Amino acid sequence: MDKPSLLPLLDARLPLTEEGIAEAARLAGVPLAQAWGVVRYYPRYRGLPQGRLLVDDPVARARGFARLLEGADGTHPPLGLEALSPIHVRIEGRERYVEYQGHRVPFREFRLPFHLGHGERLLPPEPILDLAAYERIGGLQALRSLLGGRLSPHDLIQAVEEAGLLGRGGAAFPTHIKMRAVAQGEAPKYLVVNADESEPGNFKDRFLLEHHPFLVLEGALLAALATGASRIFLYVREEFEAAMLGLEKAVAELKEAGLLPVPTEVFRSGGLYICGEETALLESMEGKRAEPRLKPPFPVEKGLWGRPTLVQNVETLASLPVILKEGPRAWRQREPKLFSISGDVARPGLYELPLGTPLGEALRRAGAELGEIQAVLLGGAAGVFTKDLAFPLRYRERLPLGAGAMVAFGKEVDLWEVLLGLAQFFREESCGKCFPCPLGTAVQVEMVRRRERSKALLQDLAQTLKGSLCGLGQSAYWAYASLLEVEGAA
Amino acid sequence: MRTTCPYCGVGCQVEPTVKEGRIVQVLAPDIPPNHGALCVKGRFGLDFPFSEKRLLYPLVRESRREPFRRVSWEEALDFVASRLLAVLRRRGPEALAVFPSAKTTNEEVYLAQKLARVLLGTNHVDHCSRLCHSSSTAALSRSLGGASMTNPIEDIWKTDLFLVVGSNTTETHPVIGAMIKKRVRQGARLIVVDPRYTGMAEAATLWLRPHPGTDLFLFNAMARYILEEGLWDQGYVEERTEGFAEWRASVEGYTLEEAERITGVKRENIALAARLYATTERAGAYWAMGLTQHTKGTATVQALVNLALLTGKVGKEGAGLNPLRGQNNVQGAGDMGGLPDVFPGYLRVADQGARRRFEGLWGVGLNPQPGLRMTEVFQAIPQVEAIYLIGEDPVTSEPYQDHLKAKLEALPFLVVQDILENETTPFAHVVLPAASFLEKEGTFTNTDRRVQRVRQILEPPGEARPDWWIIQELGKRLAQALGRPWTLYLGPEAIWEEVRQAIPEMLGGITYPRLEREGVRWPCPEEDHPGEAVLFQEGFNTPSGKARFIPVDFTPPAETPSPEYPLVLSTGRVLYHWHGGTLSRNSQLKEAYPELKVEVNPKDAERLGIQDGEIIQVVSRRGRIRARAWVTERTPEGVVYAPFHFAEAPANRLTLDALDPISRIPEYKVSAVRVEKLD
Amino acid sequence: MRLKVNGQPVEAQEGSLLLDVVDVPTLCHHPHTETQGLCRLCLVEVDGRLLPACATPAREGMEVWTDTDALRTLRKTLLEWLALTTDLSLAPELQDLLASYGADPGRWGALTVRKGSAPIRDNPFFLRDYAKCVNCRRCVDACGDGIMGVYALTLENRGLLAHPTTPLDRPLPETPCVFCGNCVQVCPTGALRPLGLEV
Repeated sequence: MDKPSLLPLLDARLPLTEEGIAEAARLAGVPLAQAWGVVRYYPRYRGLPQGRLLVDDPVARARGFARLLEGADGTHPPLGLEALSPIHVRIEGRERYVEYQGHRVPFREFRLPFHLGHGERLLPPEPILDLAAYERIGGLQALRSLLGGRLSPHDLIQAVEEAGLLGRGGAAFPTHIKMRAVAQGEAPKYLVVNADESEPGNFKDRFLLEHHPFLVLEGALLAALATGASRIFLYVREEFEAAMLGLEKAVAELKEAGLLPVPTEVFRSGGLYICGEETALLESMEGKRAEPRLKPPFPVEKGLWGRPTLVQNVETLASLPVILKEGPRAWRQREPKLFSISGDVARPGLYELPLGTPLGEALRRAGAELGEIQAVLLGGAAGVFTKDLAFPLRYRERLPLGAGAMVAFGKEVDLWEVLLGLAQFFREESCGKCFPCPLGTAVQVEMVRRRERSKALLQDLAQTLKGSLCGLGQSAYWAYASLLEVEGAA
Repeated sequence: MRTTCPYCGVGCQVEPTVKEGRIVQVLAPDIPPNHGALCVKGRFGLDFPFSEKRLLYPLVRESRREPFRRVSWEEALDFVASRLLAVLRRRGPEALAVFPSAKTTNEEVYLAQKLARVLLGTNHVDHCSRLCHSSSTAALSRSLGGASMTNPIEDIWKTDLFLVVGSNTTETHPVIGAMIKKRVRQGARLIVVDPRYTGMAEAATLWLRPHPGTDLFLFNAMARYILEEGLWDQGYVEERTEGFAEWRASVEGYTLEEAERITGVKRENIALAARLYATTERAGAYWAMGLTQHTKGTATVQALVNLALLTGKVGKEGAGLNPLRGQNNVQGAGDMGGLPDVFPGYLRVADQGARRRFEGLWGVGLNPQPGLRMTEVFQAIPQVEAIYLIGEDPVTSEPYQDHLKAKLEALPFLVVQDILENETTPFAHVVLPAASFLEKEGTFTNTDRRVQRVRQILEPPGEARPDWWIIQELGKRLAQALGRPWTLYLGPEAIWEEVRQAIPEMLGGITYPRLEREGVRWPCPEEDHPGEAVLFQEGFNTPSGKARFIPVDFTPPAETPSPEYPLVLSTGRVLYHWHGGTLSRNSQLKEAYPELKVEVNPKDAERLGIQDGEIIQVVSRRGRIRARAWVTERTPEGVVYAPFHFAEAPANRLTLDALDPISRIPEYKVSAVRVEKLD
Repeated sequence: MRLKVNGQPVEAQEGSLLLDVVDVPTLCHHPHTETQGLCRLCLVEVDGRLLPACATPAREGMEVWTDTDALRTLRKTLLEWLALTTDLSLAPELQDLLASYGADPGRWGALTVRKGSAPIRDNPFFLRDYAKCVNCRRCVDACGDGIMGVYALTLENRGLLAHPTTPLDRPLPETPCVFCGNCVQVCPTGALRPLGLEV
């Protein structure tokens, strides 16, 4: 990275004036045109909605959305608060608050309640917010082994391969293949932690970042050392202000303790769903509009600033210390995965469950009355409705697991209203770079609004969206298609 | 239909769409040299042939006191012939001059110089290149034996370092400027040497801002540093050059310290530029008027040539010495012998063998004495009594306008042949209306030696006729009266066939049918020869086959600032206009840039109490003009910049007519002026 | 090298793109610009994957399908959506494509997102009429990275509301624009057009 990135320069000049934009462009060494394209792209530069805003997530859609909306000045995209939904946020100028239990909690202080977490291996029983606490539960062993030469980068990647760790961000790509590709690339190389969790229904990364930053950082440092990355960027969803502060504090502590072998910094995300797409993410880091790149080349060959880059999800990296601690084989026997469960269940929250757990079993853990469940949205907006409670929660099954979100809907819920929320979400979040996605997601909203059930029309919609440039458009019709299937099965 | 843009030397291929006799759209085909790209002039400035100022009928008058009379072509041509013959009989050939135009076709230039040499017996033949690249031509001819870009435009894509000197490329050769900038985005380096913060300077990896008129010192200092650091190409120098030892001694005094003092450029930047240029294998030098329009223009270009030879940059792909030619057909005008000292193909008038060749071809004895150059011809009035001026507006383009106007007043007979009324037509005795590029056939040769077709898309308006037809008809009358041979051609292609025959080693392989799809570069001796892209890969066109180092020394400009005239005036062009403005200011372009703006540095403006946009006066020892001030960092402190396109505020009223001793180019880039507030 | 297109052997030059080898429609791709892979009209099927022919190098032994039912549906639908949202009256090539694919935009209901905007006339040479803009970005590329390096054009907004604009939304004469008109030349839909055509 030879140039300062545009986004932090713009952030430092909020609220933006024309002079401020021009100055940021000059300092970043980019044309004013590029800076203006960026300003007109990201919500926080365009201007955030103001007032009391209903968080428009699938749960809110299921709980009388129209009525909820009456008490709000507008809506806000999902925030990983589904376990607390329906919920409101308030934005006044640039100050943002969560309305929680009758209080306005500033974003920078708001963490998901710790009691929402249920697990042991990835989710230790108490928040680990300082280095001493992390070391008390046996943290940093893998990092110390690596630094002490007792574990080689090669062995580390080998262990990841033996564990068979698949990426936890939703794409389920074998982690070791990416790590090995970057390890073989030419320096300088980078590691980017994709902490831009924006898929509706998911809040696992948010929870890890807010409560277990050291676990994430150890995983990141292990991956960076194993691949030879010379810098680590934590690309954190910009609304997760408390997580960013916590990570910065944790990084400082590690540095202080001489345990930060790779320079690590927090990068405030662009604040859009598409920023989670790995190449769009890289574009935003490079000071551009977060629009997906054509692949190939893949980030492992040409990533950030054209250098080999490992882009890895938070949970994936958090799994590395666990794998090394337990040993890949033992780990694989009961492979832990985090599931974000919300909607019509008694105890919505984050559940660490072994892969393969049946969907119904997972819901039961969250206190669901299985007989009362009409359908479950599995995976998120880029997910599917299903009634198949026997479905084993595993990768590469009949249904996409995504990042592991489950939103349960009771018998009374109007699923078309939920679907409309998802359709509108896609339309709003489409970047507009390729043709099928912005057109198709706009058409889809109109179809869902009129409850279009024509199989032929839906098939053509699906066929065309499949041709989109990135996963956003390619998956935008899944929920729609699955709802018609669910309806058909009823 | 496809034709060649009539503005600059890039020679962009254009496809104008004509509807109801008007150009409604201009597209560019995907072929060389521009591959689909155009600039504003080619895209939106081709409508000047429809101007109200179009000359439509032959006009004649006995003296300047009388009004013009519209006459028939017969009468006009008879009149011109009789007056020229009268001067010839009374005063001899030295009293006559013919100026072909770098805006007309190769065929027309060929015919005009043939008329001068064969019928009038004069070598007072010259064109506007005198005012732009004559310094480059002189230096390149002496050192390399050839005067053109050594490398093709496409070599930009193979170049890893550009040394761009005194060229506002993005405004004056915009399509080439865009290519260079794109190559820089792909990772090539760009070193720009220019006092002004041009679009190229903005895109530069390294921008050197020397005081105006000090480039020579800079190049010599770079050369000395390269020698000192042992970065020169010893093998190349030994094998391919001569005169090295003598030259080497000549740069001894050009230390970095001294260079910093004279040029104002930091010594470490001079050293860095020298190091980068010397150590980059594919490094190409590009330059334009910033280098040439000085009283030491030839010497300055020579210093750059020496630098390129020292580092072995000539005769290689992606490198070379590349003067960016100004006019659409200025390369061709030289190639066709539109010069006082050479026949077509740069064969020397003074050379007996060359004369024999053309005497054989043309069937008449030729004058062995090289003629006067354009700037000298004007100074020689009234010894010179008659000038046949084609497509040129010297009142706007020559320096020291008041002096030139007085000379033209004293000229006994002036024929102006043009497409549009301009500042010089009021001085004419005869005005001959010519066809524009849209209304005739022919060829132009662009800056990288590519011969390209000009195609007729419209009929000429009124009684306007193609230049070749006018010259041919005039020649017919002169030839009859003088009893000399004169060929009547069926059209431009027939003229071209004679050109091929005249200089087969250069153009023999280029035929009209070959040019149908795209242009072909010279030298191209055979029809199956692809046309040479990179010159001098084997040897140079000098008697020894080696390139020659020639020592050159720094001298200050002819006029330096004084307490009374404390600022330096530099003149040039802007993106939207063309030279005297005759074309561009009679096109749609006038709306984009309607009036003269003089660039003034903010520090000077503050000292003088001048606001941006205020009307000011610029005053030199020779005159004053009124213009709007543009307060901008583009021009350095102490320097004001004025484009010369504006007849109502002619920058050349201010410039001085001091000339380079070799090329006879005027020093347009340095005059001493002061700026006054209007009140 | 040899590859198979729709089952037929085809000869291709080393270094060529699939687009040079197969006959598929394209919109965002243009020989003068670097835009590629955006419009998806040139998608072809290789090993069950959809790849943009304009951005995919031809490889020895490749089996390419250009005209499957799925691809025809995709192109037809895309064209319908463009016609639904955008004024294609000055895009004869797209109109021909619509006809040849038997497109019927009406089957999707109404959606007039782009059609509303009024033409912008802010300079002596050409106008910008974003009701006709399909957002292929050729103009932005021609102005910037692809040809000129001038950067007088950029993009406004996201999704279907995205369209080219100027830095700070200024009139073109107040931007770095040099009025080369290369943007106009590469515009496929008449969204940018010379005033000369506007009589």
